[in-house]
Amino acid sequence: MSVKEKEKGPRWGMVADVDRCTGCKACVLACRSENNVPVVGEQEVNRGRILDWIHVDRFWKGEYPDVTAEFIPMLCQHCEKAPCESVCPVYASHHSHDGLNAQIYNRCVGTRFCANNCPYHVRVFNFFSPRWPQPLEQQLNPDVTARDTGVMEKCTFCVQRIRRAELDARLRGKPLRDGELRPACVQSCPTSALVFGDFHDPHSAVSKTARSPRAVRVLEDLGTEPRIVYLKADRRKEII
Amino acid sequence: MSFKAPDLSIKQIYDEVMTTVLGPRPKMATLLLMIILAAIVLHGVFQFFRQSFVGLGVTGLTMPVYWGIYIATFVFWIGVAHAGALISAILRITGAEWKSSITRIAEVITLFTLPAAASFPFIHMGRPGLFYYLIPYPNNRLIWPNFKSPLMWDFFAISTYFIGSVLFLYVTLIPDLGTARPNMKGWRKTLYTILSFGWRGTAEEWKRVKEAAALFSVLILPVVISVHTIVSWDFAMQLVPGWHSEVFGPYFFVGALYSGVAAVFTVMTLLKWRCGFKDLITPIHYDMLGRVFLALGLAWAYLFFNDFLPGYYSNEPDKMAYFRYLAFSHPYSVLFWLMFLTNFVLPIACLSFKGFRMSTVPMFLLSIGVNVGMYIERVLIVFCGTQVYNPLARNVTVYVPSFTEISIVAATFAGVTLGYMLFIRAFPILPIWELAETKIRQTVREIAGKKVYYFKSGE
Repeated sequence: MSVKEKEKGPRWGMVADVDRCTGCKACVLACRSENNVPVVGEQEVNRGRILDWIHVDRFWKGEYPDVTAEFIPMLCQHCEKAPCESVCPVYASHHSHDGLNAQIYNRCVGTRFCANNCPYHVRVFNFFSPRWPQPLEQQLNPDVTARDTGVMEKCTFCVQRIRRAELDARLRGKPLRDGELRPACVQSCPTSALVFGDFHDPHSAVSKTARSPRAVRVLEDLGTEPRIVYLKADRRKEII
Repeated sequence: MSFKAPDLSIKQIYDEVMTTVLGPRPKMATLLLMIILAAIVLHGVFQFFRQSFVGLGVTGLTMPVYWGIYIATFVFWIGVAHAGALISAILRITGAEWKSSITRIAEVITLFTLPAAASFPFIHMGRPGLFYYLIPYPNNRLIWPNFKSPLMWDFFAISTYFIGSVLFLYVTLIPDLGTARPNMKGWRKTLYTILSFGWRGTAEEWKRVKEAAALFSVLILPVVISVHTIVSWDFAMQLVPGWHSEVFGPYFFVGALYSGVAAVFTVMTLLKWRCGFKDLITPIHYDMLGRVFLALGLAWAYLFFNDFLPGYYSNEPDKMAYFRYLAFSHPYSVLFWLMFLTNFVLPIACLSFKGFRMSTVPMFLLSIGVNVGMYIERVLIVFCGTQVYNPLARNVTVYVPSFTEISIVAATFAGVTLGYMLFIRAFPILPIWELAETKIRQTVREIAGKKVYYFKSGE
């Protein structure tokens, strides 16, 4: 664990259980509606310009007919030592006080340096002005800004929900409870494959699940110290 | 054969150099070429504005390849821009007497290619209107640019280099402008009067010009080395395995000098043919600069192999995936081996022979070949580095430059050519005073029945 004990305040993080993920992509849809992610159309998706803050990678295992699919939800890893942050010339990609890997849209000039340096390929670029086909503009979230053309964007851990929950907790005069605050993807996951919470609190659900022997971090050898812990598929069930 | 100043009087040197400025009006064909070049530039400007309004979607850029032909051309132009610094600064410091004919040719290449290069980071931005966010200007939100980003270093290095090389060119141009001013008519008279800064040719003024030139040639050296090293750090300081190479700094720097010298050969041959500098640009210049060319070619090859061999020997998976993609995958393998031929095999084989170095047409063709190879090298590095790096096995699309990108790139090539053609019409392209000085300093001595030319140093 890379959590530095001396630091106060929450350290938001996520645990994704690959064993529980069924690949239903409810998280993808929820993220899209929560964060006003534009629709680029079939042609642009074919050109590899899909705007997805979270996507579910599918891997086939084994030979026909014994084939199983394995799904890995992949989103911004909110790295502790984020490669995208050091290269941005204007601080549009920047580490927030509570350790979130923030993207400041109105500061972004679109050099795309961050996207090159992100080994997870989770940063997406607005190649055109955002658009939402007819009924979709009715469900835009007023808490989230729409991003203009030429701006890099990515998963924010639903920072608008985090800030709202923090404000509510302050008004209430009580600290945030574990599980009270959930990003859209976590909220919509039917199998609870995604868990969100505070790594700084040793009793939170994320801290407990992250202690599992199945815990891994993606591309950990690059030294990025990702904030998302994956619980890899349990091979024992295949033996049984 | 040792170098010897041209067998012309100083008046003849003056007349020969000034033919480009004071000579007859350009022919119809030249004017037509200029109009075509201007049209290409205007089309590029139009495409750039269209791209700014519509969005970068009009380019071929897509998911893993976020840097495309714009950045490749940027690196290429920065490389060619190293011509000026190499010829003027390094040859001036080492006291090479033959340099006088080619110093300004090289400096003017820098004058036009550096703005062409510097325009690309802006063209490539998603929101070019906000480029001033990169400038550390005082603002009410107290936000500074990120000095940790290699792009910031780029910004400072390129602007320093541009200011330095323009001043360098200008300082050495002043004596010629002052000398030529009385013979000028019309708009040239006004221009020369303003730019020559009241040059009278007193001993004090000469002393200052020579001091400034000597000072500039020393001061600009670290800037030259840093500029292309920093451009290479844009790549080398990333996690992408094809780019993350320790040898990139010297490799890019040597590559830049290599393509710069090639560009000097191309331009000086064209000038020799079109403007008739037969006595001023001689085969000895080709031979001397050809030796520099050969040395740079060998250095480039050394660093090129150094980039790949350690990864190959240790069979490092990521680096080998990159190498295999370059060398054996369609369509890049064709380009890779073409680059290998024009940058390594041909130059080193041909330039080793003095007969080849002294012949104009083969050297002209070789210089173009080397620059084509250097352009391919940059294209391969920029395109393939991110294209092949896919650690999480995502579906990726292959990047192909779009019409918009190619028109903008073509516009810079046309712009540089047009700028050079206009400069030749306006200003003397060879430094008259340096040629005259070489002529005056030359003395002949007979040693064992052979004439030996040498040059007196000092005031």
